[in-house]
Amino acid sequence: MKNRFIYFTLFSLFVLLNFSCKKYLDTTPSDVIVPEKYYSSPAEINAAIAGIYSSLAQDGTYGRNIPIELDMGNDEAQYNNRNNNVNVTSLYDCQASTSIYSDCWSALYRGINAANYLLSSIGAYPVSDSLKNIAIGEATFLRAFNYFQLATRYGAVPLILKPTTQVGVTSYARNPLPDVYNQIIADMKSAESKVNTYAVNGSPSHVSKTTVQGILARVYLKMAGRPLNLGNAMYDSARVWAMKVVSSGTHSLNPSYSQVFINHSKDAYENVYKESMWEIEFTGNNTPVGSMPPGSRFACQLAMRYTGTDPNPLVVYGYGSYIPTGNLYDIYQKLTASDTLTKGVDVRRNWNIPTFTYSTNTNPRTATLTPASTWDRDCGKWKRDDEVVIPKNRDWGPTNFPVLRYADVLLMVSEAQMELGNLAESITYLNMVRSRANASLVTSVIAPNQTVLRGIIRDERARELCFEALRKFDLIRWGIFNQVMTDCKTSINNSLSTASLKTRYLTTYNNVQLRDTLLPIPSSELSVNGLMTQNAGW
Amino acid sequence: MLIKKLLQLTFFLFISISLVAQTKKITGKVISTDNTALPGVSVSLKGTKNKVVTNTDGNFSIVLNEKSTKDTLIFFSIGYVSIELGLQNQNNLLVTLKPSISDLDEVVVVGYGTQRKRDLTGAISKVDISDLQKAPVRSFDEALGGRVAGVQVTSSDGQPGAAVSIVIRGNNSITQDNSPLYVVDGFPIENGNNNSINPADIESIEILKDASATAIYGARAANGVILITTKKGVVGKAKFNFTSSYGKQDVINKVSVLSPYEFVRYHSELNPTGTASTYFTNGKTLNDYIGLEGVNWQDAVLQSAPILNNSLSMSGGNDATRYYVSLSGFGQEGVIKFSGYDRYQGRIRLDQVVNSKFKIGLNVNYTALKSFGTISSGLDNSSSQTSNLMFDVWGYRPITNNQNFNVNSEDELFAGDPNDSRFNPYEKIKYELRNRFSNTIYSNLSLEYKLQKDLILKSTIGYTHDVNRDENFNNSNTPGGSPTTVSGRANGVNGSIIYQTTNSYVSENTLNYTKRINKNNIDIVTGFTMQGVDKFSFGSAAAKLPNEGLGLSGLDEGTPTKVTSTRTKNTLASALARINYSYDGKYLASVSYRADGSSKFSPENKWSYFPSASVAWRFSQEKFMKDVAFVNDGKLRFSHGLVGNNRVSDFAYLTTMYSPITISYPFNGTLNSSTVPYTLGNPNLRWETTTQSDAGLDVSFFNSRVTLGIDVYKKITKDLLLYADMPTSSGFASAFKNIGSVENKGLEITLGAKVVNRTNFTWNTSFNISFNSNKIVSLNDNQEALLTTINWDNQWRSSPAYIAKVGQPIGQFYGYIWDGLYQTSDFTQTPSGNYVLKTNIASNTTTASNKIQPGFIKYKDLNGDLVMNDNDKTIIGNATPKFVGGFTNNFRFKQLDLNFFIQYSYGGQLLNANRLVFEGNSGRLFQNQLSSVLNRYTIANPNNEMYVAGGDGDKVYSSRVIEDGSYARLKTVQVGYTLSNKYLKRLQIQSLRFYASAQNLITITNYTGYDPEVSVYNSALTPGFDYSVYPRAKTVTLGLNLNF
Repeated sequence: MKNRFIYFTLFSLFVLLNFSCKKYLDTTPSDVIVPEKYYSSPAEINAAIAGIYSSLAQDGTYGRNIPIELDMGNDEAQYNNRNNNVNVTSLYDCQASTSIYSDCWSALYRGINAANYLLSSIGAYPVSDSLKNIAIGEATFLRAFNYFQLATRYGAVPLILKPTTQVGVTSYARNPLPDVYNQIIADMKSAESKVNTYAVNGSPSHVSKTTVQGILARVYLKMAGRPLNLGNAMYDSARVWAMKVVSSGTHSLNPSYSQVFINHSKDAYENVYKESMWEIEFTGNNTPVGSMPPGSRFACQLAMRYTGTDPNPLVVYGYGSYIPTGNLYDIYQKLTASDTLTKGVDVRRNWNIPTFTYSTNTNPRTATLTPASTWDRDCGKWKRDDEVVIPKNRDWGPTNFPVLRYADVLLMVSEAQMELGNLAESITYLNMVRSRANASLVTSVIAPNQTVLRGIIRDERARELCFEALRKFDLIRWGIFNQVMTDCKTSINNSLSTASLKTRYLTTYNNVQLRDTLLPIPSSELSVNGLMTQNAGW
Repeated sequence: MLIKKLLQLTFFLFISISLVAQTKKITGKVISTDNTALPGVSVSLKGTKNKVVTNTDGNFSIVLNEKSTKDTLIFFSIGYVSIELGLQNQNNLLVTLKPSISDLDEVVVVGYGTQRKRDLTGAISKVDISDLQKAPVRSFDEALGGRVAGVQVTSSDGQPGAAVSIVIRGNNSITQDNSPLYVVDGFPIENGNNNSINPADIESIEILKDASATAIYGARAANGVILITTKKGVVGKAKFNFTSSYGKQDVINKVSVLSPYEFVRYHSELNPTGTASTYFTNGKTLNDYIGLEGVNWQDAVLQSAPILNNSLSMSGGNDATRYYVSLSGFGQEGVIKFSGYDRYQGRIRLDQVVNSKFKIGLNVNYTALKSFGTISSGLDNSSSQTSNLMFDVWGYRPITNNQNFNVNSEDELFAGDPNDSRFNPYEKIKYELRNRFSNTIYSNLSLEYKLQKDLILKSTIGYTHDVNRDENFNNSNTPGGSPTTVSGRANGVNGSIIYQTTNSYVSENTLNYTKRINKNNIDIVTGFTMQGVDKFSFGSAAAKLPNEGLGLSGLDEGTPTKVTSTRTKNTLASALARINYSYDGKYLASVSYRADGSSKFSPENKWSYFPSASVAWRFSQEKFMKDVAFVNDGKLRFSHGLVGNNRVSDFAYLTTMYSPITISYPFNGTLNSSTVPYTLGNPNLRWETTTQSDAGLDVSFFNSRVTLGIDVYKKITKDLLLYADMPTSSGFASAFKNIGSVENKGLEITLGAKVVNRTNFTWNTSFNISFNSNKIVSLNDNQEALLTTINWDNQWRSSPAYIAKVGQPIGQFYGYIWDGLYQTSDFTQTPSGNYVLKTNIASNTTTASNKIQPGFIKYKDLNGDLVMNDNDKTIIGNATPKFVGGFTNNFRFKQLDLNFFIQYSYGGQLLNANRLVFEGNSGRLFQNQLSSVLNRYTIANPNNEMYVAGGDGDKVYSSRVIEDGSYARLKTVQVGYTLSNKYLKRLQIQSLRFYASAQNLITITNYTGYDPEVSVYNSALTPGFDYSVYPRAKTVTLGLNLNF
């Protein structure tokens, strides 16, 4: 009787437990969204697309590291090592464990994963096909663009085209480099047919059809050069895709070179010439902290040095951490003899390497520099006193980063034509860029053969595109990176007399090695990805 | 039948007594503390042979001589404490006898029940609560360290209310919480606030250590269980207890920094031009600074702080109703000015016997806590080392060239250096508002119904409601809001309020069956429980407040910067059973089983099962032990079982999307909400399981005057809930996985002795020691080692300070091996006198090799490649002590009592990061330094210890700053004097005790920081890091304890 009672009680308790527990333990999250329930409305798709773009607006990418730490340390600009620091990425004395390498790597892959999530899910939802198409186009392009960044900086990388949904898979092998590039090309081509035209977008904010075409030209130029070295077929494709941009008639050069960059600082768009084709967008001054995305830091790092006590509101502040090399100044001087006679000075020289530093906060541009000190000037491409967001933050700003400008497209046409042996056409496009800059026109007399013209075009890219995160990329694909770095060493030794300054500026060029055409695979990746291998020399 | 006879007898007695006119009759009842009648108690009139014995109902009746008015009755029974009772005109007495507790008869609270100590088969330690309550501290966990073998207690620093971490038998989990499960009066709490319990209310604390003891708590038991039982009323006269104490707290020691002269001299070596233009103006020279006093910033911010504790309780009851009511108020100022901790607390406990079958109990506690003051250490992420309080205190210059310089002036500004947030520390602590309020109501209702004689149904419903409110306000005199600082300019006057509410409820239903058949004892408990936790937080922050005078109520006028809103919940349902069996008190066995279902896992993985078994043999009961007279009791125990850990976030199994404002992307200059895949869920996530085996020996010798307990154990934790690194190419940095394994092995010894046991003098002593060794058996796939950084400063963000390596303990220090200083012999001297480093000598990784000079810091080039890089980093220390323990002594001489308690820890190391910043790290303008730089290298003083001014040292972690953290500490001392005499009796006062207590009185250590008991970024992976800690106080209090 007693036992039966116990059994009965236990049994009923157990039944009760099982009955109620199933529901009781079935909690639903009220504070998070799961991907299975996302991508179902235009607003959600827009936010998801914005999430992919934001991978390019991080510190690790265009917010700071791509234009600064990962591109500088070339013949255009270098770290101004006032305090004799060590372990600075652009001084080429870092190791695979340095966080900048992993910040860039992981931000790019986060964008790829976000794109993969969208691409794998969006099909299932009842949103209009045209909207879906544009979203698929942008996501596909951005995924390819991130892979392009990875491939040019880290070499053969794992090509992951499905969203990561399981924690179990932790090893991804590298895909052969040609496969990575083929995927990039295929993705970009497919995106080209889907994304909006610039006219519909109305700004360089979203990727447009012509943006995709221009970037495709850049990818082909890379494939033509190192490390794939696929040569003329690629130059021809580059020409074809760049010419699509030209013949679309959408874009033209802004008659004022400086205005292009002032617009970046002001967060303004001009819709007459539409020279700026795609910008990574930043906004605000990160104040109050936490109320907005932080904005960009590249402009503050580059900006002309002003470190006085800052009043409120701050008008200028610049670290001047990275300075133009005397070499860049020399490149501007190369065709100048005729300039000064005919048209005056190439406007780009004094805009990019100003003849003044910031002196006071209220009237900043008053301190002039003597032209002789060409190795100790600041980068002036984006000037912080042009920013309109007040008060200014020392570290964060609204300046947008231009990933693609029409001037680059013209120079790509020129370069491709030159490599294909069409010197006359090449010079035509080259001169479009030079003429806007108030620089003398190149003639077949000045550039009588391919070799000379190649040299001029390579210099022209520095003159036009300096500090736009393209120089190292260019030098590497041309196969002259280490040579140019050695040349800089000679030039420092020849042109600088102050011993301390000489030692300081030589660090970059003494440290650089053959391995530096690629970044190391971050050790955070290596330690958990069993199939990953390190790049040569790292 | 018997009763009838007794009634007749009583009637007869009554008649006969009334016949004798000169006598009076006293009747009464004797009960035990658990409210049951005590038969067979002898009741005698003192000094006579007049003696009766209580009947089966505990009733007695004794006839006394009418004349004697000062009669005293003696109550005596074997197994109980005899009492003498003076008679004062009562004639119906209710007498409660306390069981005389031999250690073995002591009742120990176990999971879902109680057991006599002699019957225990698992490793359970009972904290000596009366010793613990002698410590003048706010909460019991501050006094727990060293009291119990196998329990390691670490508080992060000396800030009132600083987090205390308790680890039982070593860390099982690598990335997840290792703190034990707390069960307060039967209510399991995972993350409780121990400050909300008034230590004076605690009746007992038991610590469950092995699987046999803990497995009844299943999925949450792997880290051990701490059972806290609060006091309840006892039957008898109302008792009133008032305790009041007041004392002072002072810092244990101060850190020595440079005096004005030393400071100016140091900087004139480091930065001759800057120092000359600042300090050597108007004809002043270095010698003019000799003997100048300047400002000692430690004196400016530190104080001798009061601590006050008042506590009042009233308890009592009769057969049917028992009550316990307490009220307490605790106030503590911190040794840093403008900081402190307050607690107001009240408790009501009521136990009612409704009828012979039904009992009901109610326990309600309300606590209001407030901690206030600038947080001194442990600032997380993105912060700079310079925003920590002690950076200002130690780093602020002791003298300027301004004659009127004083602590209140805002004289010193470093706005030019973006990496220097130094701010006048006195202003900072005075004006920064940092309040944390916590209001907790805890309630518990239990019903007990006796279904049958041996079968009891118990049902408990508990509910806690906890509201935390964090208030921060930075006015224009604080670094966060001052127009003189970068962030102040950016944010203006700003503040925030965040509320966090936690509701937790539990329903537990158990059936208890006990049966004794001949020599077989059986005790079964089964039950099911349901528990749920609901959490939500809401708050907002605003900046640029136009009217700072309004304080936080002006938050609505500012620019909103951040709105916090979170909500989450989890539920747990469990079934449990345990059978205890013993034969003849000699052979003991216990089996327990728990099934836990948790909402934290996906439907397929919700349920898990935790069995355990244990046996014990009281060999002293065997015949062959009869001859071994000096052994009174001896028991061998073995246990084995599985326990779990479910400390993961509530929805870790789901992949989530996230749209924080900080990643929103502006299209066309307009911010646009961005959503990204944020966390990678793991639908296969399961419980972390620990298998634990324990063998124990309990022996008592020499009439139980000496007791010895030894336990050895081995724990293997498998399927770790590891917040594992993912290859970032996956798009995620980390995700929860069940991977990896950790092993803990250990030995615990507890020795107790009643050294002297005379009427007027007693001396009891107790000693414990525990050893634990911890080893990672395996980690994440492909991962050999896990490196962890401390986010104490942006510049150290990519330098890991800790390594967790397979085959090694979890939290070891990682870095370079310090190799002294570069000596002149390492250089060749150029004709112009410059030193150039020889090419066969490695550089020091932090300075370009052409800049290295004699006296610069040097590290060991482990692989001899002349390049200092990651390949030269290695394990440079281990924070886990080799052994820890404590030593308690209690003396009583007549009315005088003395208790002292020594806590010790041996073999653990600490990373003293203060030395990375304050020993010549020369980056910042006019930063004061520790006095140790006085011995710095110069060509004239070529030592190998402290690098030259400007030696650019310590930009990496190295063995130079790893120090021995061993210590022995006179942790608690109490001297008391008890008054209990006729004068007090006349005032109706039962006893009055005066006492003096002290905490942390003497510390013996070689550690050079404030205190060796430190761990500001404490976790299993990152123990023993010291930077800018709040100094620990030594406390001396005077108190009195009054009983009515």
